[in-house]
Amino acid sequence: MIAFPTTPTAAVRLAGTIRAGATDVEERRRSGRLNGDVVDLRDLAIGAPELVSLSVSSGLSLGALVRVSALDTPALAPWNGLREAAQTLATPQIRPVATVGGALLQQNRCGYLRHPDLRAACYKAGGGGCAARTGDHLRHALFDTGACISVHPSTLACALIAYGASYGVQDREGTRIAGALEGLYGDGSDALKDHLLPAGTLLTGVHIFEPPRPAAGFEPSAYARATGRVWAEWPLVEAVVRRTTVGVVFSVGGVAPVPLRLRTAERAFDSGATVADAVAEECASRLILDDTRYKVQLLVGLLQHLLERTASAP
Amino acid sequence: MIRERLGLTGAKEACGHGACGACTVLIDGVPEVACIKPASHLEGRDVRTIEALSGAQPAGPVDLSLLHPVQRAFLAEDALQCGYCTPGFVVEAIAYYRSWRAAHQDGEAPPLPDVERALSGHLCRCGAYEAIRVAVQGACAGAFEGPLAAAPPRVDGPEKVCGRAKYTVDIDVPAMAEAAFVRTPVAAATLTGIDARAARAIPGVLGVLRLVDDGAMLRHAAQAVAIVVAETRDIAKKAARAVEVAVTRGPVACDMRSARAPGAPRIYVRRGKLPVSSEMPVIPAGWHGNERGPLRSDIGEHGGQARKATASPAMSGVWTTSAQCHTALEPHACIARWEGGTLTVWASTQMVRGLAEELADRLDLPLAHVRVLAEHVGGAFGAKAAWDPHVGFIADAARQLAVPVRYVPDRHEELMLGGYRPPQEIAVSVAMAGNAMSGISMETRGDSGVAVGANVGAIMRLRYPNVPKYLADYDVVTHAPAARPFRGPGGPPGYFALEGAVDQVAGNLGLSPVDLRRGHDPAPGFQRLYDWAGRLPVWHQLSEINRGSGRYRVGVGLGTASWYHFVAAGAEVELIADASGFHVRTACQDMGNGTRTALAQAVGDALGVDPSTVLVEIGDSGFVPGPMSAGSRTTVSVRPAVFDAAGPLKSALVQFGSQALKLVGATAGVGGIAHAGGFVPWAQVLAVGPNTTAVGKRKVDPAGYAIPLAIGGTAIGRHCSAAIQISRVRVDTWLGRVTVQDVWAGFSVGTVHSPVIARSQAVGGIIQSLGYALHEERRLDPSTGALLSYNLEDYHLPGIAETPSVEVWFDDTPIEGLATGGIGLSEVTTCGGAASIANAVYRATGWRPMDLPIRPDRLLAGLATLAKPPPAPAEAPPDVPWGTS
Repeated sequence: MIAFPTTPTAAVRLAGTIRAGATDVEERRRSGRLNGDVVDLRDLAIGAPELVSLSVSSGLSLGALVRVSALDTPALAPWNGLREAAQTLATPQIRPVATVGGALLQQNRCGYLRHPDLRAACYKAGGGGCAARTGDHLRHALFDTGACISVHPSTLACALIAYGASYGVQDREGTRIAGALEGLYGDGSDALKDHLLPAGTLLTGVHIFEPPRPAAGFEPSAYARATGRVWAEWPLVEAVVRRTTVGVVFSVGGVAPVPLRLRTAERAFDSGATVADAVAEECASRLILDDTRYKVQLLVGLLQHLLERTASAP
Repeated sequence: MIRERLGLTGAKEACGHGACGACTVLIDGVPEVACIKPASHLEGRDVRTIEALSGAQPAGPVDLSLLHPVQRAFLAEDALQCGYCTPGFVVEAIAYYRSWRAAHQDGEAPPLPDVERALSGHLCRCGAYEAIRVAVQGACAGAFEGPLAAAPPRVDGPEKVCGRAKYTVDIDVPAMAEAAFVRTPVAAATLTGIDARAARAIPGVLGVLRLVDDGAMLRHAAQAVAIVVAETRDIAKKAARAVEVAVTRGPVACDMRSARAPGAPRIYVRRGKLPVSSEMPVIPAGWHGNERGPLRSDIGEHGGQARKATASPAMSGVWTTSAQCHTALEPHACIARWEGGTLTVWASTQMVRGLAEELADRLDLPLAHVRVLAEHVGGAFGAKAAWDPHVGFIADAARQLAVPVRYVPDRHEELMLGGYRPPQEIAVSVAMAGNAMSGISMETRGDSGVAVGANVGAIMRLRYPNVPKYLADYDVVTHAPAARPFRGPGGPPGYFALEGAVDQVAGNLGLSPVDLRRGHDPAPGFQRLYDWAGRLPVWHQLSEINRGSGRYRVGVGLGTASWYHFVAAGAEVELIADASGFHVRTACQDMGNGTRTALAQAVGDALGVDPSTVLVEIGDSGFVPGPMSAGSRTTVSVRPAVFDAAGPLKSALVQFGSQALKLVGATAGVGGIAHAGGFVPWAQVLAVGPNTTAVGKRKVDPAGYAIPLAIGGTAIGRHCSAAIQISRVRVDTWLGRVTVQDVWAGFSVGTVHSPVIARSQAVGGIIQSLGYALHEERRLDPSTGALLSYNLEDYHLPGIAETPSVEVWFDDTPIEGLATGGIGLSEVTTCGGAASIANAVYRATGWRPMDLPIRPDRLLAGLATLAKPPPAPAEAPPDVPWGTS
C-alpha cells in the first residue's frame, strides 16, 4: 500500500519505506528488491513548507524535500563545495527529482546487496556475511571499519559534513535538531545500517549554523570526485576541501562505509605535512583493505587537486 | 504507463533505473527520466513526450518543416544511428535549446563542455555523440530554424528523431501476454527441483513451463530453467520470483585463471555440440582439461620459422583484456504469435531471414510458415546475429498457451546473457633482424564462457604479411554465459596486443613506430593511409615518449588494423516499379548501420533517381533472401544485387515505355528514357505502365573470391580493408584518468558510397573501442558466477564527455575487381582503437598498459612502477607540451 500523508505528524505514524523523489525506491520496487508499504512524501510540503525551503542567512537551512538541483544556485557560493557536489552527483535528469533527504538516507549501491540472487551473503540485505569481502570489492571501501565494506553513496553527506552540518528530525515527540550530521552515520562499524535514523523518525532538514570563516568574504572550498569517466559515475573517491581560518577540512566519500572527515590528516596537514604524508598518517591509524589500497593514491591526488583549487578565494 | 497504456512509444526503456536517459520526457518543462517516475507523481503535471515535441505531424511521411530545430539539426548532422536513444537525446536537447536561446543571440553556440554536461545523463551505444554535440551547438546557435538545405543523409532519420520508428519493443500485438524467465542463481549447479505452485497461484499467471529437467547441469548463473507467462510483465516477473529453484552447488570457475588452475572443476564432462562465440566455423581441436587448442592460423605463414625467430625475441609480453558487453540499448526483445500452423515472430535481430530459417528448422515447419519481422533494430553489434534460445522458448510457450507472447529482457539479463567480447590473454613475442621484424609469435587464450570460438589468429594473419608468424589460439571454457561475436571479433584484443608489441619494440630500439610498420605494409591501401597520416601535424610526435613529470602528460599513439572482405554470396533484392515510384525489398535489416540508406542510394545510383524518393522495405523474412547484417557485409552485398536487378528492370521499363509513349530510339538513360525526341523521366513511364519487378542477385566479384566456396552463405572476397588510428591522450597522473582528446582515423576500404553514413559508423566504432580501452568491463562474482556489473551505472559505457574530436579520412580509391569497388567498413573501424589509445598512454608516460580496461587503479599502479620523478610543485600548471591543433 502506498500512503500519501499530508503532514509530517501523520507521516511518522505510518510504517513503511519512505519515498520522496523516488529515484531509487521506485527502481527497487519495480525490480522486486523492495516490497511492502510505502510512505510517499509527495503531499507533505503542503502542510510543512519548511520541508521544501532553502534559506540562507548567516548559515544555511535545507528542507529535506528540497530538490538537489535547487542547490545549484549562486546563493550557495559561501558553501561552494556543497554547490559543486550538487552539480556533480547523479545525472541532470535525476537532480531535479532527487531530494536532499533522499540523498542523505539512500541505500548503498553494493552489487551484492542489490543483486537479487546474492542477498543471502549480505548483512544489509538481512544475510549472514559479506560476500564482497571475499569476492569482488575493487570499488569498495579503503578503510575497513566493520563487517560491511561497501562505501556510503551519499555525495551530499560528504559535502555537508565538511561544513559541520546538523540534521533536524521529527518523530512522535515533535521536532528537534538531532545533532551533527556525521552522527547520523556513526563510525561504520554497524554492518546492518546505511544510517542510524530510528524507524518512525522523519529527517526534516539539514542546517549549517556555523557561518563560513573568514566571515568577511568567502571561505574557499571545493568538491571533486575521482572517476573513470567525466560524468554520471559513482566516485571511487570524492572529497570536499575547505580552507578555514582555523584549519583545513578534508571530508571524504568512497573511502569508508560512512562519509567521514580525515581528522588525523587535517591535523597533520595543518602542522605542515605534505598531503601525501598527511594521508599516510591517516591511513596508519586505520585498518586498510588490500584490494582497494590504490585509493590511498587517489585520495592524495584528489586532495592535492582540491587544495590547488582552493588556494585562492574565487 | 506512457508506453503501454497511452501507446506513446517514442520514449524508450533501456536501463530501467534512470541511468541511460532513453525514456526522458519533459515534466513541467524539465527533462526527467520516466522509467523511475511513479505515476502518482505525475498527477496534475504537464508531461510532454517526443511525440508532443515533433509538431502536428500528419500520417505518412514526416513533415520536416514541422519538426523542432533540434530535430532538424540531428538529421542534418546525422546525429543518430540505430535511433533507439534518439528521442531521449532530442527531448533533453530541446530543453537545453530553450534555456540557451532564452539567454543568447542567434549565432552564439554553447561551448562543448556545456553541451556535454547537459547531455551527460544520456547514453548512445552506437557512439553518435560527436555529431550530437555538433547538432546541439548548431541548433542553439539558430542554424536550423528554417528548412534543411538538403535531404537528410539517413533515409530513416526523420521517423527516428520524432519517435515514430517502431522497434520490436514498440509492437503491440492484440491480446499479447508477457513472459519472464526463472533463472538459476548460481553457476556450476545441478538442478534438483522447481516448485512453481506459489507462482501459479498468482492472479494473472497463464502458465509456468519448465525448460530443463531435474539433474540438469546449469553451467553458468542466470541460465533459464522455467518460463512464466502472465497477463502483464509485472505479474510475470513477480511470479518468476515466486518460483523456487533448488540446486546443488559445485565449485565455480568463471574466469580463465580459475578454470586453468590445478584441480579446477571441469566445465564439460561430456562435450556435445558446444555453443560458438565466433562468426567463423569452429575447427576441431584437442582438449586438455578446460582448454581446447591450439587452433593454428598460420598455415602457410612459416609458423615454424616464426617460432624459431621468436625464441630469442626483441620483446615479449602478455596482454589481457576484459569482457566487453554488446549492450545494445534495445534488448533482445521478441514476440511470437501463432495463427493456425503459421508463426510470426517480431524480434530485435540482425538476421530476419536467418532467424526464420532457424525457427523453421527447430520447429519442423516449412519456411513459408514462419515470418520474422524487425522493422527497426535498436543496436546489435553482433549480439543479435545468432540463434537465441529464448526465441525458441517464447515460440513454444505461445503455441502451448495459445496466446501471443512477448519477452523483453531487462538490462540485468541483457548484460549477463546478451553477449560479450571474450576476455583474452595474449602472449606476444616479436623478433627483429636489424630494423625489421623477422618473426611474430602470438599465443592467445580466450574465455567465451561455456562457448568456444574466441579466435584471434585468423584476424592477425592479415597484418604484416611479409613477417613470418606463429598464431595459436586456445579456448578456455568457464562457468560464464556464452560469448557472442562482437563487432570485429578477435580484432580489438588481437590488435591491442600485436600493435602494443610492435610499438614497444620500436620504443625499445629507438625506432619510429611508423617506419617500422611501413616497411611491413606493402599493400597500397596502407601506404596511402601512411601518406595521409604523414601530413598530419601530430605525425612526428608518434615517435616521442614524454618523460615529463607534471600532473598531466600528453602522448600520441598509433594503432593499425585490417579486416576481411565478407560477402553474402547470392543475396537478393527485389526492385519494384509502380505508379507510386520505385521500391526496393529484401529480407535484410537496419540496426543503425544504414542498410535503408545504402539500398536507397544504390537504387538512386542505378536508376538515376533521388534516393529520398525510393521506398525501402526491409525487416521482413518474407521478402527475397537478403544478407544477415554482420561481418561488415550488408552494403557490399545488397548494392551489387540492386544493380543486377536494375538492368532487367530498366529494359522492361524502356520496352513498355517506348510502346506506351510511342518513343523512337528509346534507351535507358540516367533517371529515365532517352529517345530520339528527348527524354522522359521514369515517373512518367511509371504513371502509364504496369507494375514491374525484377530480382537481382549478389554475384561473385569480378576478381573472384579468395576462397571459391561460400561457407554458410558467407564468401571471403579478395583484398582486405586497412585502418590506422592515431590518438592523442592526456593522462591525469593524480586521478588516474585517461582522456582521449583527439583521434585521427584513416580507412582504406575502397569506394565509399554514403560518406556521411560511413563517417558516422566509423566514429561509432572508434567510440566503442574507446570504451573497450578505458571503461568497459563485465564483472562476475568469483564464487557464484553471478553478474555484478548488471546495470548501466556499474557497466561503464563511454558517455558524451568521453568523446574526442575525431577526424575521419577515407582513402576512397576504388579497389579493382570488387563489385562495389569497396569493402565493408563497420568492423575495421573498431579494431585498432584500443591499441592506439594504449600506445598513446605509453607515449605519454613511459608506462605500457598491458591490461584492459586502463582503469584508474591500473594506471596509478603502472605509473608507480616508473622511476620516481622529482616531486612536482603543488601549483604547477598543466604540462601540455604539444598544445592542441
